[in-house]
Order: sequence, then C-alpha cells, then structure tokens
Amino acid sequence: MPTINIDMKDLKRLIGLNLDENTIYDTLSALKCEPEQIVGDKITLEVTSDRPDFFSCEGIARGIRLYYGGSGLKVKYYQGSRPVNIKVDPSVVEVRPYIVSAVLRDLSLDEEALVQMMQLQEKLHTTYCSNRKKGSIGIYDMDKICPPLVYVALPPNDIRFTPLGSNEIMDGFDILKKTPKGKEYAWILEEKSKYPLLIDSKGTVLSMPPIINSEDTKVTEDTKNLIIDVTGTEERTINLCLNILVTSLMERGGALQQVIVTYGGREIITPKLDFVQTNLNLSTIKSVAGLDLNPDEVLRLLRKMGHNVEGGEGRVIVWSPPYRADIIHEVDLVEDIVIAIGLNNIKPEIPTVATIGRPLKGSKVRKRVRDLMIGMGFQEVITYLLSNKSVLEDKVLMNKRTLVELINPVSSEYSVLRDCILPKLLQFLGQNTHHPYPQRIFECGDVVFVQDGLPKVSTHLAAVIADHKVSYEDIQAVAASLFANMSKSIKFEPYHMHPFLEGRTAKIILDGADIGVVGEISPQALLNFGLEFPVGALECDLSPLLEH
Amino acid sequence: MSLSSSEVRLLESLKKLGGRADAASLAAALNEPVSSIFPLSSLLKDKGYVKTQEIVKEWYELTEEGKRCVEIGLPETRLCYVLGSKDGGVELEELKKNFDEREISAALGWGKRCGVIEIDRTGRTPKVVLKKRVIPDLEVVIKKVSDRPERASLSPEELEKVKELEKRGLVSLKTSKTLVVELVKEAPVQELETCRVLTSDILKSGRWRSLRLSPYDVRASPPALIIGKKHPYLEFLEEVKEILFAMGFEEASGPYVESEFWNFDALFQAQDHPARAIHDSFQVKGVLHHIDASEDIISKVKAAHENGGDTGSKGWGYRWSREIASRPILRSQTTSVSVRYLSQHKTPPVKAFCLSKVFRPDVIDSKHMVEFCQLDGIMGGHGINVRHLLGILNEFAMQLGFKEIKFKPSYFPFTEPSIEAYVRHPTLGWIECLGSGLFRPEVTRPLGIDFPVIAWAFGIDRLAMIRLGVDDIRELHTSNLGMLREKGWV
Repeated sequence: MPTINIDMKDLKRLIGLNLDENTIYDTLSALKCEPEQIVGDKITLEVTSDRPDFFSCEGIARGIRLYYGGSGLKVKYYQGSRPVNIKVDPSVVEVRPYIVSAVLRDLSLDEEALVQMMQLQEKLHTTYCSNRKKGSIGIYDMDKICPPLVYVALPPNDIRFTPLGSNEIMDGFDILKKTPKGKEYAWILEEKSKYPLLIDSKGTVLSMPPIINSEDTKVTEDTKNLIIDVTGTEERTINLCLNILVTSLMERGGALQQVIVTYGGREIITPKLDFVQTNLNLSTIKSVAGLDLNPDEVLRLLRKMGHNVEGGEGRVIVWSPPYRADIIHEVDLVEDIVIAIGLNNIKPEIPTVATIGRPLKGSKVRKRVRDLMIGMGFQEVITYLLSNKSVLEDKVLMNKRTLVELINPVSSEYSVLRDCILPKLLQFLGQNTHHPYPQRIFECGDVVFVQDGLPKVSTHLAAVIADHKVSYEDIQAVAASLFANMSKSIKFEPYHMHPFLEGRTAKIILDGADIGVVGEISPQALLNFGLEFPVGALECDLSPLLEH
Repeated sequence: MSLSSSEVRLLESLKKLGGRADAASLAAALNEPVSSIFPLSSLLKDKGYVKTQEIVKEWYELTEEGKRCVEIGLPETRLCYVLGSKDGGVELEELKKNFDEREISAALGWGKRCGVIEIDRTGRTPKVVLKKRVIPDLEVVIKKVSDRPERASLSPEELEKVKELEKRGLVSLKTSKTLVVELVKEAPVQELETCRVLTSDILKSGRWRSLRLSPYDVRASPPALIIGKKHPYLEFLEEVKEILFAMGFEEASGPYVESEFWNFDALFQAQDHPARAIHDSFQVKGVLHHIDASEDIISKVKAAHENGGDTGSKGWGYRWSREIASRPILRSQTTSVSVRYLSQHKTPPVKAFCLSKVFRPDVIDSKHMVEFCQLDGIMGGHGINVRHLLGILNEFAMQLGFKEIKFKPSYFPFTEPSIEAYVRHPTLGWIECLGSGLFRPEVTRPLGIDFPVIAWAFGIDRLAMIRLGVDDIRELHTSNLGMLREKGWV
C-alpha cells in the first residue's frame, strides 16, 4: 500500500471546517488513510491503492469535508477564449499512442502545494501507471509555452533539448544514458526506434514522455498557469490520472481550461469530468452488509461519501465523481455505505448454520506418525520447502533431476523446492555438531516433485540418528516399529542409492510398492555435511497411508 | 569396633524414635521380637553407642479369691449382713454352713477386734451377736486394688490395709522391669556394608536387609535428559487448527506450485496490477505452463476481467492474457486454495480453512522470510454477510486468547468491503493481524458460486512469534537443535 506525507495545517485549511485534530485522525482511519507516523504537523499516512484520489492532501481534505456534510467537487471553468490544441502525430502509435491534457489557470501554489502535486504525480506513476509504462504525467508552466502543441515520435538523434535538472542540451540517447531518470525508465523505450516528444508551436520541447520534462518549461513557485499532460498506452488509465490531478489541484482554486486533442480526424476534449452512473439495489446492501437501511438513510450515507444520488423503486441511482477509480460494481458502493456508518458500529453476528469441522486425512496420518516418532525419542524439526541444489544434489551425491526452480530467487540458499527431506536433515545435523549426541531428529512434511511436466505434492517422513555408534538395525528398528504401530507390515529388500552406504541399505516395501529407503549414510556424504559421527537415516513417502 | 547390620538398624530406629525409646517401641519399629532388643542393646551399651536403664514398676492386683470378694463382698461384710438380718444372734454352727473355715475365722477375728460382734457362749451352743452396724473398711480398699494401683500411689494407711488383704491372700504385689535405651552416638557410615545401586539380584536374594543403600545429594542437578518432542511452532499451528475444527471449519489444501490463474486471476487481480509484478511472486521453471481449471471457469474469469461478464461489474477494461494466467509461480497467498475449494464446493453452507505455506520474494530479515505460513478461511452461504464476518473473526480472536478486536476498512482486490482487523495484546498493544472481506462477485460468480462468501487471511506467523517468544521470524524454522531441546512450550 502506498504511503504519503501531508501537513496538518495544510489539511485543516483545505478541509475548511472547524474540526479538531482527534476528529480528523479518527476520520482518516475511517476513510482508509491510516496514520503511520506523526511528527508535529507532518503526518505519514498509509493509503489504499483503490483510492488514488487520496494520494494527496487535497483529495483527503475533500473526503473529510464531505464526510462532515461539507461541499464536494466543484469545477470552475476558465472563461478565456484562446483554445489550447494538441495535435497527435501518427508516429506515436507504435510507441505511446495516447495523450490527454488540461490547463489550469489563476493558481497560487505555495511550497506545500508543489510538494503535494509532485507526490501525487509520483504515487500515480508507481501504482496506476505501472512505473510510467501505462501512463506518465508531465506538468509545465503554461506561460512558457506557446500552443498549439504537437505530440510526435522522433528518432533519438533528432531529439535535442535540456532535460530537467541538467544544464546541457542532450539528444534522446544521452538522456537515457546520462540522466538519472533516463537510466531509471530507459526500459520503457528499449527497442523503440523513435521516442515520444511533446513540442510547442515554437519548437520548445515540453518533455520526452515517459522519461523527463525539459528545463525550459519547468514549474516554479511563481507559476500561475499550468498545463498538464498524461501520455500512455491505455486511455482509461491516463484519463483517470488527469482527472485526479485536475480535481486535486482545483481544491486550491484556479480555473480549468479543457484541451482539444486531435488524432487525425478524431477530436476529443480533455479532461472529461463526468460523474459515472451505477445502480445500487437496496437488497444488495442487505445481502452484503447485513444492514436494513431505509432509502433516505442510504442517500444520506452515499452523499457523505461524495456521490450524487437519486432514489428509485428498490434501488438508488448513483453518480460517482470522476476521481473515483474504484466503483466498478454496486458492491463498491456498499463498501462506501459501510465506511460512512463506521465498521465498529456494525454489530457482529455468529452464523447460525451448523457445519462440521474436520481435518484432512493427511493431517490425521501426519499427527499419528509424528506422535509415534516422538514416542521413539526423536526431536521434531522443520525445515523450509525452499532449498538449493547444493544440498539436494551435490552434497548428497544424488543425480541431477528436474526440480521446481525459482526464476527470480532472492537468495541462492532458497532457490528450488525440495523433492525429499533427508538432505535437509543432514544439513541440520551438520549445523549442530556442537550439541550433545545422540541426535535423533525427524521431519514430517511436504515435498514437491515433477511428474510429466507437472508439479506434484507428496508428504514424506525423514528421520536420522547420529551417535558415536549407529548401525543399520538401529534405524531399521525405527521403520519397523513405526509401521507395526500403524498396523502395517513392511518388508526390507537390499538396495543402493546415494547418500546411503551400499550393503547397509534397504528399500522399504509396503503392499508390494517401494515407499522409502532406510540405511546408513555413506562416509563421503557425511563429510560433505561436516559430520564426524555415523548416521542412520530413513525417508519414506506417507501418501500410500492416505489411500485407505 | 565394628557394628553388625542389626546393630546399625537398631541405632537408626532409635534415632528416628527421637533418640530414646523403650524396648517395646524399638521392637515394633524394627519388626523384631522384644526379646532380641535386650542382647542387642547390651552389646551396643558395651560399645558405647547407647545408655540403658532398667525401670522397675510395682503394682497390686487382685488374686482369684480377691476378685471373688469384690464380686460378692468380703466375708466380714457378708457376716454383718447375715447377723443384721436376725435379732439375738446366730449360732456359730449355723454360720459355718454359710462361710468356709478360712472365711469365718477372718470374719470373726475382724468383728471381735473391732468390737462389732460378740460371741455369746452362754447358751447351749455359742452364738454370734451383732453389737453395732458398720461397713468394713477393707471393702473400700479392695475395690481400689481392682484398678491395679501402683504401689507408690497408695497412702501409708491404704498400704497397711492392702498388706492385710495380701496376708489374707486376696491381693498380691506384682513387679515388672522395662528397658529404656538412649542413643549416645550414631552409627558411623563407614562401618556399614553399603551399596549404591539397588539391583534386581539384591532384591531377589534378600541381601537388601543387611545392606545400607547410601544416600544421594538429592539437591544436585540431574544430567540433561534429551527427550523426543514436537516442534513448538507446529504445536501452535495444531492449536489454531483445533480452534477452527471446533468452530466447524473443514481443512483444505492446495498446490504450492500454482498457476497465476488461481493465485491472481481467479481473485480478480488485474494482470497489470502492481501486486503481480515479478518482484511480488516467485516465478518458477521446470514445470509446464498450465491452468488447472475448466474452460468454463477460465472463460468466465477472462470476461470478469475484461468487461465484468455476467457478474454485474464493469471489469478492469483490458485484454486478458491466457499466457500470463498459465504462468507457474509459487503461491503467494493461501487464498488460491480458498477459491479452488469454492470451485469444487458449490453447495452452501461452505466453511473451510487452509493453514499452509506461501512464498514471497521479500528481502530476508527478522520480520520477513521468503517462505511463511498463512491461514485462510472462508464461509459461504445464503444470507452470509459482513456482520457474520465480524462475528467469526471476533470469536476466533477470543479463542486465540485476545480480549479485544477492532476493525478498519481496507482494500484487497478480491474482497468488497475489505476489512482489516487488529487484536489487542496486553503488552504489545494493537497488532494488525488479518485482512478480510466479502469475496467480490467478480470472484465468486465465475466459479459458479451464487451465494455470498466471507474470507479472511491471517498472518499466523506473527502470532506464533508472540506465542513462542521469538522476535525473529526465522527462529520459527530454527536450525539450532539446542534451542529446540531447551525451549519450553509457552
């Protein structure tokens, strides 16, 4: 979940109601903005990714104001007459096909406003915009720009401008190679022969989306008029981002001028701050939240959450504001009602339907096996399912085989799934040579192996005895006792496999099927794990016990 | 001077009896006849281990004749009685019929001496005449002797009368001797035949009777005992399972290697959702790309993502990729098991849990491990709603020993409403412990579920750490045998 920083004074000013700080903190929690840290007026909030309109102080202030009956979104349109146009060149289709834009005039942005604007831009980039791949936002000083603008893709060699934070003119290649942002986001433009560029009528470069803006058009505290663009690969995402930016900034004043974007013959006007309709059946409120609410109450609660509403027969028609990204189903409106009521005001209830609780068959068998092993004096241990080939193959001298292997491990120690447990117990013994002997340990757990290309899960038991003297029959007796106490009769047949010692190893046979191996561990394998004591070991598959 | 084992036993018994005891008590304590005490104590006296003292006791008892007199009265008493009943005396010859020779002479002797009777020899035959009526004084004394008084307890007057009775053969003086043994010094240990280990042979042969089993320093620490026991972390997980069984939940399981389909798509997590980026789940090789689901479910999930299908949703509005959905990963949440379970249990009520491993590519530190346990629970049925979710979670938290739980709204892509719960720990305060909610219709409808399902996922390792008193998550899978051997279950 994203975290954002806001300032309490700024928040109070934007809310505009006379609320005390405790009320504000409680309301933040109720609206899914969880205060993580409070230092003076500086508050760090954990917000949820379904409410991008809460990624900045302005949206949160609006949410709280609405919660206490204050005003919601109001859009003041700019009355000037000069239209702003962006012409989209067909060259961008292969690179980054869509652009939306808005102009905000007559703003007065203080330092905190700029901080919030940049934070909102960054949080949208890392979440909804998939690190700028799906969408990227540029904000510029409108007074440094001369419309109409052109959105075009050019070969990197033909691009020349001073990127933000630099003092030299660079071409497209250099920007990706030399600037910090260029290095960070170069992956988005990799393998593209042309890079997108936003230019004004005088040839001034505004930005090279999604990498960097130009130094020439940057926003300062003196900026009064802004132009915002969002370019990307998905119209739904970039429209949402623009809506959120515009509606947030307008919480601080200013007037909106829409921008005309032209794709060949198609002309669209952005942003479209339309409320989106969803019909909410009253019966859904009852079935989801278990609440019996009368229609007037429902209307009041939905208004409290910023929706426009109209009552109907058995349902409510809801228009959600254009900054809400999360209302895609009527159940999303039920959540808003629950939030408006407050979760802790809803009475918990125990379901009256009787059901039967029961363990898996496998859990019962495991419990039985574990109890018997404990009875034979073994200490239970548990090791991770994740292991590595050094332990599972090399040290135990076992053949290479297909193991489920991680493509993106975070540590080579944990890079494959185990298909047997014994090597992990030998590793465990090797890590505990300083503890008193005898060491009798076992693990009963799952393993994953590959059969016909598909992963299969099986439950295994592995047990080892390490002592000054350990012989085959010491561990063989454990196997015999274990199965005898589960009323199973097993047989032992001579066998050889690593890491066991030839001539002192048998396979365990149950009802004619091989289910495991028991024997002494070979000296070479012992040395590989740093063990200086003989070890008797067994491993068997418990799956056959589940089939009865 | 050496001591025999019987001598040692006597000394030890004497010590137990407080250092001083009579022969009878010692005999009882040793389970030997009293007669054996005398020679033993005499020997021990010579060796200087005990002092002995003979205590003589004297007392009077009634003889057989005396007992008869107590019963029917002394002869003189009876004489007075006979004379008192006949005026003018009774002929001596007549009296001799009622008393024997010895009795009559005693009675007459007493009567004349005391002036109580007179013999009238004036008549043809002598007659005995009562002069005054008295109760003979010996009658009182003989009654007292029936209580076997010690000689020393009697007054000189009483003693004189008792002697008279003694002369008459009615009472006799008895004496007895009691041996009292007193400990002077204890039996020295080295002088015994001692034995450290009690063996079956010693028991069977009876040699234990003449052996001394040497005492131990029972306060000394015993040797470390290495026992077989269950892993404390698994014991905690078992306890959690027991709670869930009692609450009517059925245990479910599912594969560790899972398709993205069940881990993400079926949970309505858009394929370009930030949480599906490569750094949030482990991708694997070595197995085929495959979706273990029916074509019907696959097509409905696809529709739910693209435009909502028939779930009543608008969907995420993108083109769903079967290729992405079929990529194998290690499951990052046990919720994948919950939705698999739902796809196979379409008849309400449905109530199941999965307590098992999940895998996430976190940076490994004291709070994060790439492999950990998660507890997922679901309950579905007609009429199930958020209030039941709150009720179940509340009950579960109480069963785990927490006294307070509070809820906050949250966000998960597959639940709506989404709710986080916090439980209050007595020292650690509020602990965020679970995420929950009602499965979205975009999750349930494609699986063929037409009733509401509540779901919750518990970060059970956090609670296990608190319960086991460890502050590093890796210690739940400790590779330190010493810790497992020593660690108590708290």
